[in-house]
Amino acid sequence: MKAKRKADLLAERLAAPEVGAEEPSSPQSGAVEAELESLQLLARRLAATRLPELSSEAQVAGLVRVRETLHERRAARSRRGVWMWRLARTVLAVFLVLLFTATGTVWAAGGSLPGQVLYPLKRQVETARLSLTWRPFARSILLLSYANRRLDEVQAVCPSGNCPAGLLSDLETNVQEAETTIEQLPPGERTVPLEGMYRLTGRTEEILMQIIERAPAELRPALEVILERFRNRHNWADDALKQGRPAPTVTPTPSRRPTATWTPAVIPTNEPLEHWPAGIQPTDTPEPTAKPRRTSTPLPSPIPSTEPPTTTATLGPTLEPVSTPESPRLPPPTPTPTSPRLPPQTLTPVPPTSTPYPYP
Amino acid sequence: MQDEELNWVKLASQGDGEAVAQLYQRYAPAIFRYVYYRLGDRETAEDMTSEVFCRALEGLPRYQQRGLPFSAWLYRIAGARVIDHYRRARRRPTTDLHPGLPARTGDPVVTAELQLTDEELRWAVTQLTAAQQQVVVLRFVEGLSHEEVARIIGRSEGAVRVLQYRALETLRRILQERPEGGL
Repeated sequence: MKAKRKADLLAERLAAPEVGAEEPSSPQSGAVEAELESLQLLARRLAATRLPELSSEAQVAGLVRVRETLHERRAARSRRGVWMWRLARTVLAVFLVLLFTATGTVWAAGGSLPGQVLYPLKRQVETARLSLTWRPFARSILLLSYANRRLDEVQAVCPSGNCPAGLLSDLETNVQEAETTIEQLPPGERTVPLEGMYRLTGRTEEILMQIIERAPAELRPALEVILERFRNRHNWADDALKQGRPAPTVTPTPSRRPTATWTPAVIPTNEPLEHWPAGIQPTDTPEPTAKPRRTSTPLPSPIPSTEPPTTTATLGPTLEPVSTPESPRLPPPTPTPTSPRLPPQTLTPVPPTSTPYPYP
Repeated sequence: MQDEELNWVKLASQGDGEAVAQLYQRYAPAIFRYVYYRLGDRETAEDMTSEVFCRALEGLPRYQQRGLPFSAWLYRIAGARVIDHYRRARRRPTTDLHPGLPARTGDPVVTAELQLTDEELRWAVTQLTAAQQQVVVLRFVEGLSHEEVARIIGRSEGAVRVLQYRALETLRRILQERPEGGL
């Protein structure tokens, strides 16, 4: 008989309550029966074994040892906690360093110019920021801000009109999109972006005129087309501002542009100089009070015109109404420094003269 | 009882000293008997009993209740510790038919049927293989079922029945060949 069969038979016997109490379910041969019976007796003998019990002293000693192990585990866990805290602190420090480095890089990229290493990063940051700005008002302000940046870049990198590909078109794109966004704004929210548009387009005109002066002849026609478009935008912004502005109640002020601040009370009028505040004369030009329309005019020429002046547009920072020859486009009386931004123009007191104010 | 035990095990894994003490007091005597029967030395068995519980404490976070009592896991740890002890002592349980018989010490229990002392019987068990020892001690000394023994030692019930048969057969042969007495 195979061992497995005998093992099963033995297991059946062991499961029986007593040896020999019942007839086996399947009677075996004499030898097998004797073997199984002796093994069953031996199993019973094993089950009757009396073993020494764990003494109370040994039990206490064992319990003390187990508790010590438990305390060691707790101490190890707290050490692990300290280590984890130190690791977390290190990771946090590394993260902050990387964050500041990235922030610094982005900040440094903000002043980069076309052709520099960080310039693409600057444009990507602008694109990302624009994509996250969905409110029309904020979007219009942001677009104007980017347009000003493009203008600074134009002034910095292409004084002779030879601009990098796409720079001027990017400028126009920003301005055009800002214009579209402003038009979608409710009337009450348009003033601030319109003022920004007005300043931007006026500044663009000035810079473009400087560039056109120095540009080679073959580039001038294209630049003049762009200049004309910005003039139109400037007029549009001016008209839009007028529509939303109440009637002026104060005497004329020198100019709306470009001043350090724009206040609705400073409204240009057609009043002659005599009616202006005593001792104060505009040192910057742009618009005379009547806001003459900007039309297509000849390029600035050093040759003074004999016709009475119809516009006070000047490229220079100051205007001397007495001695400056009249021309629609005056050459800059002083060399204009090359800088990303024009110096802020302020009102400076000029001793009054007897010469009548040249502007209507 | 099962839920209470599970609760203690859960608390013990979280470091609760009282739960650890409860588990120790419940299972330490059984583990001691198991280890003593296989080693034959009281002091070694006492040390190993506490060592088994220390090992269990370290492994508690990884313990998973799979339908077996907590004692089954303790028996597994105890069996591994006994094998390590044999390896360290360079003693491997063999079926040597002519081993030296231990001196009769303590209070021997002589039965009418077999005229075997407990010490002789225990000595004979130590001559079995490790797997046979586990089956004999768990089945007959601790009174566990075939299924429980199978789960503890990681074998099938059929394999446990065969191990049981072979263990008893070998024990009978060892005891038959001893100089005095026999079956």
